[in-house]
Amino acid sequence: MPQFTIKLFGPEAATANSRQISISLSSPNPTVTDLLLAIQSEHANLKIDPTHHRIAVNHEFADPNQPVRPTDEIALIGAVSGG
Amino acid sequence: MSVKIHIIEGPLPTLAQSDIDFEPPLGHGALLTFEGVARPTENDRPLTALQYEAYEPMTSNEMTRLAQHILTKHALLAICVEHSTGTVANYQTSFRLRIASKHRAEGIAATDEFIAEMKKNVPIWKTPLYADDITKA
Repeated sequence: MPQFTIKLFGPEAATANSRQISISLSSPNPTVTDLLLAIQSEHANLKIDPTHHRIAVNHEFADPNQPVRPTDEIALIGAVSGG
Repeated sequence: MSVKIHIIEGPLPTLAQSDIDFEPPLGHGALLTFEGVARPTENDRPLTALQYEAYEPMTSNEMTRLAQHILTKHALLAICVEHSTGTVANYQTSFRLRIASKHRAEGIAATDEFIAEMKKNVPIWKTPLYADDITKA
């Protein structure tokens, strides 16, 4: 199954005690939604909430139906706290 | 240039010490500067510093996008944004927003909206470094 690496920042990185996690997706054409659901399932401690957590693909916020590829740079963006 | 974005390692220099030029175009009747300063306490606990983390180039991209949006929406003349990454100690400046506008109303509204949107959408994270965590170590 293709492996996806997801970069973590801020509170999520602290919770996971890591700067990244890996997810395997069996779907032949996975989307951002598939990825978030997989993170929710495999990393329950991250408390993924689709109203607060977003996925960035190659440094751009991604729509839920956007396809993702293992070669993409993927980041989980939770609550931000600039300023 | 109407929009300038600077992501800077460490605390921001004072305006007097800064080498970042902000020369608004002629015609401005208002020049607003907002500075975000690291408070000495968070949740009633004493802090020594705030630790900022960015995700470049997305941080700069989103900050630029936001600044362009605010500039257009409020018909501003210029925006300059500076934001720290890394460690910023108590009372040091971690964020500076400068806006040039024809009149004060749109400048004030833009300042508030920019900061509110930045706090929701721009990938920057801050972690408080508590004084009592250090003394316990």
